[in-house]
Amino acid sequence: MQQRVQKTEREINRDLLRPNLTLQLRFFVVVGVCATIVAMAGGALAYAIIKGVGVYGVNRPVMWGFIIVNFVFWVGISHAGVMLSAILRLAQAEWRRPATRAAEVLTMFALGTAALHPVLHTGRQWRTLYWVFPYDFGRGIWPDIRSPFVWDPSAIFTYLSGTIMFVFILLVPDIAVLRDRTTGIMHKVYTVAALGWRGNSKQWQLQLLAGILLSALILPVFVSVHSIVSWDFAVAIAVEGWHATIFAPYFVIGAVHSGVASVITFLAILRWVFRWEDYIRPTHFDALARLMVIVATGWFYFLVIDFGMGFYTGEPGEIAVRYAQMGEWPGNMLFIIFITTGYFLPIPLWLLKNVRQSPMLMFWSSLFVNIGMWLERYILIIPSLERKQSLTFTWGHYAPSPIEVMLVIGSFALVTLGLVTFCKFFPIIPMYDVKEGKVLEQVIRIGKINVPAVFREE
Amino acid sequence: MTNGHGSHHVIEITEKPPLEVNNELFGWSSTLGSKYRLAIGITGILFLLGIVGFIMKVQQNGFSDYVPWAYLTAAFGFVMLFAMSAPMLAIVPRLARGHWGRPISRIAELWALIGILLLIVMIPLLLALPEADGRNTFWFVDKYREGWPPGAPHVWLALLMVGLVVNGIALLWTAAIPDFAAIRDKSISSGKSAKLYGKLALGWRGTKRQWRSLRASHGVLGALYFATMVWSQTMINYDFSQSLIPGMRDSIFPAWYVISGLQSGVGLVLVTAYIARKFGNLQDYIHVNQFWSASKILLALSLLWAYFWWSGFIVYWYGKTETEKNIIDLFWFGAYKPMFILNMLLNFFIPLIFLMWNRVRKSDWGPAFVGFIVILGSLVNCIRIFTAAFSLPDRAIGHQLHTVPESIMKPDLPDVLMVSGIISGAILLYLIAIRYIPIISAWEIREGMLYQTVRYLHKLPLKVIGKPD
Amino acid sequence: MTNKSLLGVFQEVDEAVAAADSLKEKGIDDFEVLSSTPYPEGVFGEKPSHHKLYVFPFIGALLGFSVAILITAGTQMAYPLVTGGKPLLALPSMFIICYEGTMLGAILFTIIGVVFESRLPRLGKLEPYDTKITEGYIGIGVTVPEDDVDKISNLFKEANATDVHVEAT
Repeated sequence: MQQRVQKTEREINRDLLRPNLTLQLRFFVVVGVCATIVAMAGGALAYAIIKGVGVYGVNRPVMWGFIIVNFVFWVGISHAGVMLSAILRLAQAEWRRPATRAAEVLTMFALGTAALHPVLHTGRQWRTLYWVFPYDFGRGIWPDIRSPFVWDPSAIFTYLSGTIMFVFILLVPDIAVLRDRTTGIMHKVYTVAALGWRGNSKQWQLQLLAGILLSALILPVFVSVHSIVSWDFAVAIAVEGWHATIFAPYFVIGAVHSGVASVITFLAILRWVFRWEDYIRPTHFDALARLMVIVATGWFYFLVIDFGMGFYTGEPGEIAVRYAQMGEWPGNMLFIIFITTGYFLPIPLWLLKNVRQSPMLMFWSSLFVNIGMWLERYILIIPSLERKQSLTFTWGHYAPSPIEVMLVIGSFALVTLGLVTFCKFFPIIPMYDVKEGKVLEQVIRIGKINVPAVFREE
Repeated sequence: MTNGHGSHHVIEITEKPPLEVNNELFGWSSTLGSKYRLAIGITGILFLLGIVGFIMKVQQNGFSDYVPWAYLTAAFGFVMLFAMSAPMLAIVPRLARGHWGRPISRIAELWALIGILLLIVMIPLLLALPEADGRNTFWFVDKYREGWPPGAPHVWLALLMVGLVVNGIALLWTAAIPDFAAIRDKSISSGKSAKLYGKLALGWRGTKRQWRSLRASHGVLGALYFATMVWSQTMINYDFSQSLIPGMRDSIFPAWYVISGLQSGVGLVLVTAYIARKFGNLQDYIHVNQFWSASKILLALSLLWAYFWWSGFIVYWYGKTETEKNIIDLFWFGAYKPMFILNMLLNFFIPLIFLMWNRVRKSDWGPAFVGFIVILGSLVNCIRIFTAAFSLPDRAIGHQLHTVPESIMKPDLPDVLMVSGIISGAILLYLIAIRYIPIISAWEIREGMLYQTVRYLHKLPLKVIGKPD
Repeated sequence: MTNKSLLGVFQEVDEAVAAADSLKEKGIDDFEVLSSTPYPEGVFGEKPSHHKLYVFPFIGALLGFSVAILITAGTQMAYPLVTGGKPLLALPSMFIICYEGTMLGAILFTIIGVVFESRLPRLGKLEPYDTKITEGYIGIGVTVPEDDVDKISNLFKEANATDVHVEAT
């Protein structure tokens, strides 16, 4: 029998607002740790700016290293929000309710962090940002719109602004609840943020319509963002293994794969930390895992086609890249870890109902997926650059520097910091969504059993 | 059907006694009148003419050269795309536990029978297809190990197709077993046909264990069918199109081809459902909800079609190598430009402009019209890509494309007859099948009635949908 | 004659529905329902609301597209610099940025439309309102002439309202 929330509205408010209305020591501990790591990463960045990008591990021919790998990784994670929120909202899937805002907020912070990476990569950022903004107008040139490096910021800016506005507008009713439950300065802040929300029928109609309209609008943006990131690689003819037409959907579906896995990780943590067993239930993990099986299998199809096409023409340069990726150390070890953790370990596990309905097993398997997906980006970028062209005397080797490693670790801390801070000030589970689910709950009696049902507006 | 009048909408659900459902659906084929017979007649004649066209072609050209078989390949690809993708609209709602798929699942699955025709048509195409040596191919021939796997591509393509067709028919059969059993028991027809249904029902009695096995088989066969369908279309696209173009290396081309198949498959089911509803008087079973739900999928597939095409184009446009520029000319902006523009209109712009409006999606004619447009687009698409691939002067050997034809490959009379023949043959086979296999799955309708009702939420009547585990 | 706004606050949905029915019997069918849960429209028998939200994304898309065209075409024509062998007005590249601009415009204007059509922001005192609404209570709000305030107040109380607020409009 499916579990359902058997609580009153008051109890739902109390449970879901507990992190916002109470001070908890662990919040300060986590913030402290994350802030420290972010500060250390900031220090590493300052060192890189002062000393120059020579302190990074990048060198001819591998001019893109850990930072760009991490950039693609975080853009990928950011695709979780729209996938779950928009698509499931449009499909009227009931099980989306506790997961949508967590996914959207993860998108926000992941994408914001990702956007920093190309800027970190360039070294003296104030001298290079005119690739996006025409402030160095003394040269009389505008950003080159023919370059995918200009398409990138336009797509990321659109997606980030769209997501922030999406999160905010759908947060307004819950901010109104906080407005009514707080006093003092927080009450004033929430009052302004709630925009005067009262909850009349028209406002609710518009909220629900906004959810659907914005979902429909942001979905094409979500597809375009990682496609454009993929074209940073695919449009170049200079690097063997990159000039493939399948990169766009391959990157997008890979992003969904890693993004949804990270939402599973996040939900499992939320459930454990805030004791939200009544709201984030095994049935949600079950549904997410089923979705992941389909997404992962689609991703695997694209992976096979992409790698298979490497052998399609049989060109020596391309074969050398594939050999570096799969045949020689350390590529072979990384490839095995990637393919095992990214597909062959989690997918068979997720075919088992017991695994799907276990939050703990889902947490660990989703972590494995993201380890695999980080390695996938590494394998895609680094060996291709190491064997950039078929002239073997141009081949090189890359090893990340401690500065790059610190920046990567700092990115994880930054995203965690953002998520924790958001959870402190705003409800991470949409309360009105959960309450709406309760209103629409029904039961159909067939013989001796009660089948869970739902009112459906058409 | 119960209509509840809310403040602004009519709720359509099927609420009938189960026996009435059985009687109506099992006796439906006997109500098929003159229009049905006319359709059988026309498609039968065109199919026979298609066979005549084939014989003419064999006498004219034989199988030594693959180029004359371009149009038959295009027609084969087209029919395979729509007919073998259509069952997905039965598989997907079942896997997602969507009740909306129930009235159209059998309509979709029946198209899998067309695989039998495709297997026959594939024989001359395989006879004409050149060996893989000397050109880019997905099979490991010539480059790494000689002739590996043995018989590639011919044997393996044939095996893939056989697997796909067998899987599709198995899916149709297993899904229809409870209905076959009901017909057997009802003895609408006596004598032979009752015995036939008895054999097809495989001793079905409706025990709990049998129902569990049936559902498990749907899941397994459905997942297998999807994988096989995707892979077969990928390989058909490689071996009959991309591999015949020297230097073409487009990893998204087969995926885009699969998407166009799914798009035309959904379109086909929408058109068939519309005809069944309007001309077959099945409004009590096929509601606007089915069109509304399937049209959302069709809109998504149309967007994906354009996206996948664009992903391929932008990489080629940016790369600007000689081969890439020639491929852009070959498929999109050279002699085939008018066909490509027509494709864009039929497969993307028209579906987008129509289906973005909820009012159009929430009708029966709207999605069906778009479905028809998409099928037309798929035909134009297949003709474009296969005839273009078959028309290259240096006969597919080598790894660079240096020249492209100045004009499109025009069909001759046998080509026209064969194309119309194979399409008519597919429709004819379907029409014959619905005479003997109920076009709507009665057991799924009866099951659906258990899980759907209309209730009031205070002042508002709404549909209630059960979500069993 | 001045008008007054009344808000009846009800703990149960059925009570609120009964109060709405009573209002309709009295010939008042223009009432407001306040809740902390999005009920399907029409649950309380209220009139359907009208809005022009759909116009906003189209306006936004057009504006976004225009700005993107200006940025892509205008900048390249202002300072022509051929790069990578691509034409100055490289349509595929322009298409990508125009696409993003169009979507950003549509999203931004949708948000503006939602806020505008919801008659937000209202940063002054919320009238009439009760913080119990966000605890799950249902509010039925109506504006009536001052003479009818007592009648409507009693109507709400008969329907088991926990509170009745009266504010000047």
